[in-house]
Amino acid sequence: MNIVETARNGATVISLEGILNAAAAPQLKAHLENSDPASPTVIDLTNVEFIDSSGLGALVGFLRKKKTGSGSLKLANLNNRVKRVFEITQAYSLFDVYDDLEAAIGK
Amino acid sequence: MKSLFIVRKSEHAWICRQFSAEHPLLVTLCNKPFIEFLLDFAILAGADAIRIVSDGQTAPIEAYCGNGSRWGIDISYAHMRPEDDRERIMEKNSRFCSEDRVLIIEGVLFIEHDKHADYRSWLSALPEGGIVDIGSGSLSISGEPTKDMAVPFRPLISIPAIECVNDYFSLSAATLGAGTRYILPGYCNEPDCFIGRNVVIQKGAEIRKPVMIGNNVQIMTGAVIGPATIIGSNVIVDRESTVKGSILLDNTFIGEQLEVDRKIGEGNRLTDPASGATLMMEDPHLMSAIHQPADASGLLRQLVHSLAATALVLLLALPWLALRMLPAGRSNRNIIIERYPLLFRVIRGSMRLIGSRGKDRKNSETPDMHIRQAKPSVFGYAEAEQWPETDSDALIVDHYYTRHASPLKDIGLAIKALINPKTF
Amino acid sequence: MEFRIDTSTGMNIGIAVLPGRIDAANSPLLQQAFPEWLKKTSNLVFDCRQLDLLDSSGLGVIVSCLRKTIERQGDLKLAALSNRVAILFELTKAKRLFSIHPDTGAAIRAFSSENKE
Repeated sequence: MNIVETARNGATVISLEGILNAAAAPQLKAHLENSDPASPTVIDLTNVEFIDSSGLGALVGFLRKKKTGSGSLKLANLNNRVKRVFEITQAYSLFDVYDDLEAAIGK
Repeated sequence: MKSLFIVRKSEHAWICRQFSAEHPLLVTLCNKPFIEFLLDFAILAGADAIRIVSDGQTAPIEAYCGNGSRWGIDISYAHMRPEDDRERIMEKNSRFCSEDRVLIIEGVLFIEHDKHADYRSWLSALPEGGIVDIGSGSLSISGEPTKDMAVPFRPLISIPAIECVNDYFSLSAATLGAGTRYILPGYCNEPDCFIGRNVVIQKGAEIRKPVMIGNNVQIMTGAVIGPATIIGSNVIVDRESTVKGSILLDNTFIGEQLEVDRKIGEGNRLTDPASGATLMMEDPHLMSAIHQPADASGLLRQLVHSLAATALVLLLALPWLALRMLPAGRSNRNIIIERYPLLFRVIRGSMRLIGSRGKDRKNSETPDMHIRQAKPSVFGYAEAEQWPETDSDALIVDHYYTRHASPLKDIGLAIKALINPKTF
Repeated sequence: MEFRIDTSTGMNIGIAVLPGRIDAANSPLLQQAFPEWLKKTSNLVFDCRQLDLLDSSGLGVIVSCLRKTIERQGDLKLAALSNRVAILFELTKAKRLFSIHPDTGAAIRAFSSENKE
């Protein structure tokens, strides 16, 4: 799993690429541990090929951390495979999901 | 032009209780799901791409509408949070909304329209803003007008409020009465009479207009159908029964010599729209509960669970006996001590080794039948994962594995749950 | 099943309060009790305000009660049908056989006015 972090317009953009499963979740978690809980963050999921329950767990854990740190977490560009997992698990009710990265980052 | 449908779960709660359709927008009005009327209107208005945004499940609609190729348009689906307002939803769908004018249909089940009217040029001249607003639902348009001309005379357009079963009932009658305005299913070679495919009308049966009959319907000898009656698909009206001023939804059976007047029938349930009272029609031959036999994969799963539970029982017998010697109430009495006796139930087949494990999941509003009908289990899927902290987290894991688990994977998950430090 | 004779209008009118449900399990009880009531009077009212569930055997017994009453030149009136039971009477056309009243008072008054005519 590739994790690329960039800063844009005062927001942190984390682009994920590859498979987000039980093997990759600790790596993502470790990366997210270091980020500032107060800064607005957007996770770009365009290139995520697969996500399972542990991958979702990493995202939910991060969301919770953001909420306690009064930051914000938005997800952008869910492809159909990822969308399907969000649909069946109903995880969509927890996240703000954007169809466009620029809109998620904001002006 | 594009169109955005905003569907809020909370607005349609009563429909879910009243009708058995998988999604409120799939409830049929004149044998045509609500969603199709909305699509018809959006297409008449000139939309070539439609996005359905909901804070609930969109999968049932997606299963029905697909990508929209049946209508020659693009249909996509997106999620939102219940608290999102219109601006927020537009922002979340900005890629979809930014390029073009967008017709926003919010919290609406049905739009009264006329297929002969010219909505396209009227809407393209209309300034940005609201069009119709009835509180519970609204139509609005965003983006600058594409045509610089005087706004033409407003064609027929209105949103009826559908807030109870009686509203639905009267709207159905009105829609059937104004059948020429809409695109209604069925063969229609004379006004006010729509007949579907594979309809058997036996000798001596009578059909009175206005009437609509769906597919695979049998009307037996001496039955009288109509006037002002809508019959769905897979319906049987048995001998000498009368159905008038009523709606029989799909898969309804009306027995012999009955009189159905101003009622809504669905399956074996009959509702009086005026009082809201319902009656279950029990027929000993046709309507007694049908028990589904366990299928092959269910048996395999059962077998795997029983075998694994046997292995665990044998493996853990000694440690269990040893640990039982410890004084009761100590925190080191771990999960396997508490649940060891349950393993015998798994062997017997009345429980699963692992599955969704919630306190009151049976009463919860999860629309997932798999989870609601699941057998009780010793370990929960959520216990196999280390991350869930709250019940809603656990539900996410449950939902994931009820769709993705297989008999063998179950065993792996059970072991994971057993060695999960959180459960100890 | 509670049964009493009402004489407030000068007539002997038997009033039976039906239980919450009449189905295959307890409809024989009604069938057995009814001839006793009919010996006392042939003007009867079934008070259905508790009755919520009626199946086809229950309906059959009520219709047979009506038949027996009519054989004795009397009448069996129904009072205070719940919405659900009313739908069943309508659905099976049993509604046309009975005179149905909103409450027992109305049913009793109906007897006395019929008597005057």
